[in-house]
Amino acid sequence: MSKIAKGIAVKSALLTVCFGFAGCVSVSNDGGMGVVQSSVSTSLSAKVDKDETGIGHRAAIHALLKKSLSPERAVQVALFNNKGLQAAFNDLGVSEAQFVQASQPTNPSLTVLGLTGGGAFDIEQRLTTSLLALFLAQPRQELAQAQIKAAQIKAIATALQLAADTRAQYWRTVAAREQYATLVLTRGSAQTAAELAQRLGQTGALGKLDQAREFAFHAELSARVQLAQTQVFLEHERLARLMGLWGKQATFTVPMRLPALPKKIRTERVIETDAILHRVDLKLARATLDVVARQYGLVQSTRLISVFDFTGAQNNAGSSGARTQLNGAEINLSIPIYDFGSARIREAEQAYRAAANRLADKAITIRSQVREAFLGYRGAWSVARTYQLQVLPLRKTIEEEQLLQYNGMLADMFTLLVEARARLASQSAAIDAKRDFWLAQENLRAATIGGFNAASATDGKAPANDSTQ
Amino acid sequence: MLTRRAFVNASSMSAVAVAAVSGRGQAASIPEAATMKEAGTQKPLVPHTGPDYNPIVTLNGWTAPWRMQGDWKEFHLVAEPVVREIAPGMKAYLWGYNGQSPGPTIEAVEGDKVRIFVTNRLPEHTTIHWHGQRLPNGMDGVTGLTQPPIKPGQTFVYEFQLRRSGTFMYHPHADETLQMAMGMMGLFIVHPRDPKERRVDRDFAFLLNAYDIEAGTYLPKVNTMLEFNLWTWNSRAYPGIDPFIVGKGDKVRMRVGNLTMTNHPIHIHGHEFHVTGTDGGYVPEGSAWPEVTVDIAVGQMRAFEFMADEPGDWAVHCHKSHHTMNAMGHSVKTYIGANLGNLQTKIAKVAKGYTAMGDKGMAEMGSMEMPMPDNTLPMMTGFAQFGAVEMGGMFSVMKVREGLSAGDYKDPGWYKNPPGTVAYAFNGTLPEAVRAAGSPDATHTKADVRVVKPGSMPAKPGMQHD
Ligand SMILES: [Cu+2]
Repeated sequence: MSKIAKGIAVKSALLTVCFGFAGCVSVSNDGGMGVVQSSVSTSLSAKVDKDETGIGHRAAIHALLKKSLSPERAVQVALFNNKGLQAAFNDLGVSEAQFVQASQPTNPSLTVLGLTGGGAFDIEQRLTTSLLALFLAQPRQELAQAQIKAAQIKAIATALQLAADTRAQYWRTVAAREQYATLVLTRGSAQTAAELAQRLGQTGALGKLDQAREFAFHAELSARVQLAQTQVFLEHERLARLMGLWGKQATFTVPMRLPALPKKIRTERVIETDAILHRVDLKLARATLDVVARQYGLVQSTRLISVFDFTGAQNNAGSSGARTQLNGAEINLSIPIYDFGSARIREAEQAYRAAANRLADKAITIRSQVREAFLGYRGAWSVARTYQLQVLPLRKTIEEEQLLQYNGMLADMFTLLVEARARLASQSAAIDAKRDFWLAQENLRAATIGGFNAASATDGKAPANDSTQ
Repeated sequence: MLTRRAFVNASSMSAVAVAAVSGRGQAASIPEAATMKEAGTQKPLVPHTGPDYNPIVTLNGWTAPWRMQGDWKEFHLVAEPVVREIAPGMKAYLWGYNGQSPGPTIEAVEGDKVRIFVTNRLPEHTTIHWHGQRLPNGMDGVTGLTQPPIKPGQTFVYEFQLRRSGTFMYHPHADETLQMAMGMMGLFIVHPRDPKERRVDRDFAFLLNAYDIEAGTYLPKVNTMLEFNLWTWNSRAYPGIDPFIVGKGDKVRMRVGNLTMTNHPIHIHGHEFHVTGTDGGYVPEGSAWPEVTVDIAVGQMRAFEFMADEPGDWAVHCHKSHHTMNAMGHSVKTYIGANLGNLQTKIAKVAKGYTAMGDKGMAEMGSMEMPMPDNTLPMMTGFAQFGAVEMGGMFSVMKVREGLSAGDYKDPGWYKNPPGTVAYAFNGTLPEAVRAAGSPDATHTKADVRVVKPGSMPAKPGMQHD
């Protein structure tokens, strides 16, 4: 790619992503929330608000919980109501206040000189100090802005993490309900078989052995139903916790079953570009790099390079259209290289290089994570689809044919119940597969924008730690 | 392929189509092979060449046409895969001859010289054994022993003179178990030289055969040796077996050959008969013995005769009652006496479309007409003027009617019973039935049996389940 093209890419990056600190961040008096709000609104189509009054969004939350929850409404409740998130916003306010204070220049005031009537050296000294402070005000402000920017991104990341965890927990909660209902049906078939066996015992057609088999099966299924019921309670409570609910409000309802699978899913082409452009922790690493540069007073950049080049990663530029597209994203992640040779100390260079390497490491990891998340997403979709389009229809056919066999007195009544159980077992596996798809979709979303939790990939299990950190 | 040609001097060829033989080089010397598309009983083939005889009626079958070549009667059998209708609603993918299973009946006369061309269109080799015939050893059709196998595509010629009259069969003697399980067999009737000898008015013939065709399938399971689920006459099962149409006062003969793996006691209602023929020939007139059921052992043939002097619709069937049923599930539990009650709704909840059956017995099966698997006959079926007949398999009806002209085999419909000759329901009041001491009644149904079990708990039929 030519240098001109690189330059254009850099410009667009600055405009759209606001990696730089020149035009995007200004010291505000809203505690830094404006940027957080607009960013969360863009990423999640949801609102965040710092709860200054202490009464929160009671009315809004009440309205959101009235109907059976959707993932979007669950996220909105969590964003309004999760106290951990509110704490993160308060932290942002604290940071901003501190940075703003620290970056105020000392006022050069000559009237002070006259009043004190001190010695010439003193006057000169103070004047020099003031002028120096005035001269230094610009870099200090820039540093403060960079630091605030970083703090804001941290707050955004907290919001995204909360949203991702809430969405995933939402699917687990719905899936647990659906799974429970299926198991209740399965138990019903076992109970019917047990009753049938008992009646055949009474007529003398079935011995103790066969009766006991049916009873045992029913008893075992009853235990599994209890287990499933407990799971419903647990998942519900975890979701309530993420949404910051207790008491009466925690009795919200979720739908009975998971939604249908989408017929089409995202394609692979742009996922890495998306992640590099949008991942909030990458933005944070980039902002940290700027903070380091400001801290060491690095201003005179000599050129911009791709962070991937910085670490020596090789790219096959221009080998294909898709690849070129990807390179665009890489080049958007450009960092300035400074002239460390002239007046700068070695510490500055090492500190800057460390931050740049961390940024590069993050970028490479994110690319891998989003690829992994995509593979999991596509795999989960195809598994769930196999259940929907093949396994379940075939189970239905088997059941129908079994019924015809029963009609012709070619098969026993018990075989109907056995097939019904087999169908319900497949249905249960299909619910798991569907839940895993929705979780994988959340995982992919989180890998693209943020809130990615490496531990809770697509295994469908609740994460060990569902905090919003 | 199915061009009709009057190449044989025979009557009643309406349902017979004629097929060319594949071996073109020999075509000039080989009679064309007729093929049959219908599974119904065809009209008897009255001879127009050769010596006269009283032709046979093959139940749900037909007689092979022939041509005279000098003093040789020439037939052509083609062994090939066929689709046989077992009964309306069910077809079987079988192997047979000339379009059907069983193959066409070969009819000839004592003393005739027969030349039978056998063309093999099967995927494996075959032969034909002429069961019961006296013939030169090399014409006996035992593969390996008396001749090389007829390979796929080959045509073999069998030539022999018919030395005695009677009932015979033909079937493969190569991969015999499989080929017979697939339906390869046919009747071979040798008529007496003198048409007046042993003459009857109506002469019926059929083979007993059995298949194992699972519900919903078409192909027999060729490795089944005993547990067949379709018991057939000429590869037909009731209600697919045609009735025997008989005039009142007709002398009737039935000839039955058994090519299944078990015996069949064939029973006729309303008449006694005399067994007049066995595999070995005619029973001397004074030695023919009276029966109402004749047991036909494996590989045997029996001919029995009677005067049809009782008008009506008389059942004719194998007396093994499971042979008068179509395919059924032997693992179906016994539900007699089980009060399913509210359980029915529970079962229907998980098994959609379920209807309770069997808690009173199985008779309801005969009339319910439930949806069944593809290509499957109801276990018990058939309807007549008084309702469901609840039969299947080896069951048919002999319709004895007054005023039928010779050669009239048209179904006359249900018998019109003279008034006052049909069993009727009693509508008066009955005194309390007196039960013998100790007989089971409604208040005492449990068998009084004690069994010592491990744990020394007395056996109880019902378990407690909460
Ligand atoms: Cu029988």
